[in-house]
Amino acid sequence: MVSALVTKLGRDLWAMRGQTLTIALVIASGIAVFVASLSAYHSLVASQADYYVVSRFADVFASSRRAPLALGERIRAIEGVAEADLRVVEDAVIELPGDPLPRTGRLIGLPPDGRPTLNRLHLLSGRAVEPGARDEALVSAGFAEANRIRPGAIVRARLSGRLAAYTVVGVAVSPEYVYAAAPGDPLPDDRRFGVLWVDGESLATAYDMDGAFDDVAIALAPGASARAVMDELDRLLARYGGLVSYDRSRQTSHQFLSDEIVQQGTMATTIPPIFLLVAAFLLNGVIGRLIGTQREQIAVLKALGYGDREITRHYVGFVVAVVGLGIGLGLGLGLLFGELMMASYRPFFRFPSLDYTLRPWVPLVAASIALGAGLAATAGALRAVFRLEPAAAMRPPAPPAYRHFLFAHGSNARVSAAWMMVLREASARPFRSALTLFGVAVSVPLVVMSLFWGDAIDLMIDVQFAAVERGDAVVTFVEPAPTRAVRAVARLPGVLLAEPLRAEPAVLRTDRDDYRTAVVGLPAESTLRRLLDADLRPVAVPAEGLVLSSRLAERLHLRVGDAVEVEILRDRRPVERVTVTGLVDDLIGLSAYMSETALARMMRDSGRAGAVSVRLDPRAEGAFQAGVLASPRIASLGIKSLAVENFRRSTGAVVTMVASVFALFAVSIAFGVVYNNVRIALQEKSRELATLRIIGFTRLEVARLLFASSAIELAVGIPLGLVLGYHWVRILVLAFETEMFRIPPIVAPASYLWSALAVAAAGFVSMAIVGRRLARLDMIGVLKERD
Amino acid sequence: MPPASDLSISTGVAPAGAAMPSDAVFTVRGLTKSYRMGETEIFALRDLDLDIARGEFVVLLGPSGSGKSTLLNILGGLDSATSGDAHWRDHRLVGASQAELTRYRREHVGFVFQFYNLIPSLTARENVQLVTDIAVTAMAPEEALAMVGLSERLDHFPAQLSGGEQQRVAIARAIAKQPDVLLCDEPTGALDAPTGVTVLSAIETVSRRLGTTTIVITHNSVIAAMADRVLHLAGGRIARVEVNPARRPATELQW
Repeated sequence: MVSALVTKLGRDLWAMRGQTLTIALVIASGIAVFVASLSAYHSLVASQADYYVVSRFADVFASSRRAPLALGERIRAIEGVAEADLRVVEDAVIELPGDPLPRTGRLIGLPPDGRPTLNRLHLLSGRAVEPGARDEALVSAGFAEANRIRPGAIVRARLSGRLAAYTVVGVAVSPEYVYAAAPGDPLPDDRRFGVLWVDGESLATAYDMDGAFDDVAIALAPGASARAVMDELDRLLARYGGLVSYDRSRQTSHQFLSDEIVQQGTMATTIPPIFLLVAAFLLNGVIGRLIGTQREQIAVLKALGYGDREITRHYVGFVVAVVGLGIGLGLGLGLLFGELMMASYRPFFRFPSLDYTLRPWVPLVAASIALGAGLAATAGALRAVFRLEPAAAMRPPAPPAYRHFLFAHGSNARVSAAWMMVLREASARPFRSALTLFGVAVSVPLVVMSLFWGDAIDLMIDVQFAAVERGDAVVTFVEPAPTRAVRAVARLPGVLLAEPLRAEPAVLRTDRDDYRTAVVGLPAESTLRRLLDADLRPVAVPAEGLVLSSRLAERLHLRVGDAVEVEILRDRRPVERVTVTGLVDDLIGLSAYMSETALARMMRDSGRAGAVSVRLDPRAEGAFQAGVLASPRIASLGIKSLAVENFRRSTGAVVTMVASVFALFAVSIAFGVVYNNVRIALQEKSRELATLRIIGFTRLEVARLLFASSAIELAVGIPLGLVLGYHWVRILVLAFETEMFRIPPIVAPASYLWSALAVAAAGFVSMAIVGRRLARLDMIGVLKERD
Repeated sequence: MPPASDLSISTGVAPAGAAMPSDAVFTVRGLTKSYRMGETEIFALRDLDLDIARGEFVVLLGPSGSGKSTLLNILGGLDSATSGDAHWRDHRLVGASQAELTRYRREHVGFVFQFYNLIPSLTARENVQLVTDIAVTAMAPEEALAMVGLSERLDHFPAQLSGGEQQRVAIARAIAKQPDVLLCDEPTGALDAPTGVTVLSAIETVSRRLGTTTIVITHNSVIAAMADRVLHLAGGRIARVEVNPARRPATELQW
């Protein structure tokens, strides 16, 4: 037979189903965000680690201008080198039949058997390139997908001026291009950038590289020092136009991928715990108050002879049931949302498979925090009841000491008696009001933080693609070209303005540290590429000296006026000490800038350009693109509008999805908190409200009084929450800063507005639901109860 | 106005029909209220007829479950009937909307309950003000409290007042709007005798002074002596009617 207490438990849960469900919703929201974010993060980490091992991702990379294959013997002999893969890698403009848009292709030469030993390719469809098949190619998965390229399709590439046609035989992924961004592009654009793996020998021939290589990937032996290997490699390649070698941390795909994973990790370890803790805190408050309303029942149970232990067990059962429902719901939603997040990553991260991983501790921690908060609240509330004699507990709690207000004292009261009730109640139980107010106040920043990501993306686009990059397109040459090449680009149809961009690979050295980046040469009157300070004001390019991204200056511990050693990694590798004359606030990347003329003087040439930034006549875009395709010296074309569109479509879509779901959970938390507070208030005040109804107050008047305190809590809590949101976002972005990105902590006014509206709406919906209950208030029944 | 059948068969000390006032403000005809409890239907009121005159002081006596409170609640616009009719002047009390009943209570009725039902966060004055804020023809809260002898306790919270004082605040709250009808459900039920007398005196004073129609429910038959008419209820019907030739002042009551 079921004991009476168990029956009571079931009935109580059912009778309070509205509250049970909304409390469960609060905790479920916290858990869902926590579980989803962490599992998505762990999935990325695991996929990356597994894939790197399986595909034998190289440890060290270097490129040179043209090194003889015989050098391979000496490279492999370097102590610590386990394996070296020598190859030809070239960027070229590629075109798809019937499509005028020029694209950038990275062509990678395959070894004779078609299977590189390092950075192994994983075929998603089709087959490998047959040994010696000069016109076959594998294409990277993203490019193939974005451009609907299937095995059998034709892709043409302009190899050093000569047009070559390849038949696509397969679609592949590579650990080197998990995140495939075109050179110089901060973000991947699968439509416009693709990797083609082709027969190595014929590629070498096309670039006059027979018997030579210009790129090497190295796997280190276990325990080997990457630094020592890179030093030796640099020494060997120096004669052959070698650039400074780099390890995985500077490998583009790995760097972006790791940054992204770090960001996911930050996202998973900052916002979701806040969600979870806020939910736990609110759970604590709500459950404490709920048990408070059961005080008389507890006293009756005690009077009947039930012991503290049995009563405790009963309420623990109640809380475990409510919190358990929340945990179950939260885990379910978390898994679902986690899978959804993973699915949204798939187009970015080209792993052979991106599998969902849930580490067991994640749900365990989430459940423990939720249960802990619930049980702590139960213990506190029960202890308060147990301290009383049963007889005392059976009487309703003595009213708190209400205060006389000076402004309303005596007969000339300005405030109606009904509103005086509200004021006295609020001032007599400041802690209770404060708790609800706090509940409202902390749910607002959860929404603000969620919506902030969309703002950050908009701002990044605005700054990067409108204020910094003011041209419409960037044309990159196969090799840095003399200034007359810039003039040639300026003469292409549709070009209104053309400015050279020179970016030379360089190492910046101080006594303590060094950093490999590019020194960008800009014309003194640069209009298409501008430098901006922290307040987004343009900074002029100084005639002398170096301007640094402020984060690069920080990293190298440099201040304006300090000197830094600059080595340009090209030609005769000039080394100079240059004074830092200014700092700029790049959002993306860490760069160093010089005037075009100062850079040319350092390089002892008359000025060269690696790329040209152009402003286009929008009506002549087609003609311009055709002109680019016909220019043999152009290796790639970046079109700003496409980059922006791509950025919004890819990153924007993911962020919007994640942010909306976060915001939804945040609003659920607000709803749960306000609903429970109003619902408990109704329970506590039902007697007073019934009295008011009897003496002639209308339902609306009574509702106004019941909801007045909630409305005030919303009215004060929401602005407070907006202020909190502002500060939380500022703290949050610090955690999110990576080497590649800096996120400005600017929340759009619309996001503040939406956050406020969303939480207010959650509050009003709660009130509307409780209001329906108010309509059914049993006027006679409550009057039969004794005071 | 035809005499009520129920009253004519009652074993009245006085013939029921003779007691029927001609200037009735309350007219009740065939009033029935029943609840369904599982299989059985329970009648709180059975086909009850009643007229109450303006300014009349009526006491309802009867055991628990006899229907006193149900009758009072329907007359006060707090409860609905299953069938029959009840009017206060031209106000329909059966089948009226919630809004109509609220307006009726607001404009015409004052209630006093056994457990006072004061708002703990409001002082005596403010509890009365609660009514004067929304009433049309209200007296000042101070005046109402003076009528129940509480001029000295205006700014005390209920928790600072004795039971009798609290009940007198409740009476002041009920009469401050100068109601046409004063309905009291066991107003002395929670009080000792001397305190009860004070409270009844207050009710008596206001009903006399304001000419209010007053209906008082009680278990205490001593109180019946205060009334113009005493209705004994049993099983949802008026079983017996007593008419007092003269009302005894509350101060003379003892129990």
